[in-house]
Amino acid sequence: MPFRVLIVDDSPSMRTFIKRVIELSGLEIGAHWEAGDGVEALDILDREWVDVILTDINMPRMNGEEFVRHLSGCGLLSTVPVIVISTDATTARREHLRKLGAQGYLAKPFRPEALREEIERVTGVASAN
Amino acid sequence: MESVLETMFFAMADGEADPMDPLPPDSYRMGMSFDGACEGRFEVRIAKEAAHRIAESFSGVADPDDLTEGGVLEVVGELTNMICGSMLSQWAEDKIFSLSTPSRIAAPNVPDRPAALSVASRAFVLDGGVLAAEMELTGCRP
Repeated sequence: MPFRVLIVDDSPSMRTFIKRVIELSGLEIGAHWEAGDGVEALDILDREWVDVILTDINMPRMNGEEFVRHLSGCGLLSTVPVIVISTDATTARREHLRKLGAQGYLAKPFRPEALREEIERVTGVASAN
Repeated sequence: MESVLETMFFAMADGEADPMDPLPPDSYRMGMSFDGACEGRFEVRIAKEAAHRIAESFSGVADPDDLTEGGVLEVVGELTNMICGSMLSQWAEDKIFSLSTPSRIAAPNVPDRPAALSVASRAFVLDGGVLAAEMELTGCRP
């Protein structure tokens, strides 16, 4: 199934890298959008529907934590899963984001297969297969 | 560090180097700070050619000439951020840290600095030159 993906990270090179890694993992991207922070991401989500959101934590204007909190508050997390991709691999941070509503968490560094597995897990594609 | 280099930047270390050895004058140096359970600074110094090779791998550019110095520095910033985050996560898995955005430091080599609580440094030989990293702790909360 081609995925519609929203990649949220303040680093353009990291957004490009994540898209490449998704493709390297064998997942098909039907459409993708990129945002530099949570504010831009919300603007995109006002206009487009996506299958999964991949977000960094440290971003200007609206960081990943605030973004996830906002998505939870408006009910979007019940239909669109969020995977946090961050250099912070501490269990404290993972648990904190999980409690805010993020369905997935991937710590950098990660292999393409790990990103694929996490996307398939949170979207339910793995169980359907 | 090796895991970050290999997994995200497709760069293999070809042995270790002395982190105190000065790098060429045109090398890049990135610094960032962190706080939370502990506070401190983290720096990466990398030879220019090694930085370009890493940036090419990370960006996936077909033509290296398409990569600007700004693009290379952005990737070095990502490298700095990832190594710092990875080291902190391994060292204090049950703590939360806040990391600053990496920024370029003009002087490529390490100046004399006041003593910190603890300093850890490593350096690797990469394709194109040396990468050196140093983490400095200046305080920890009980």
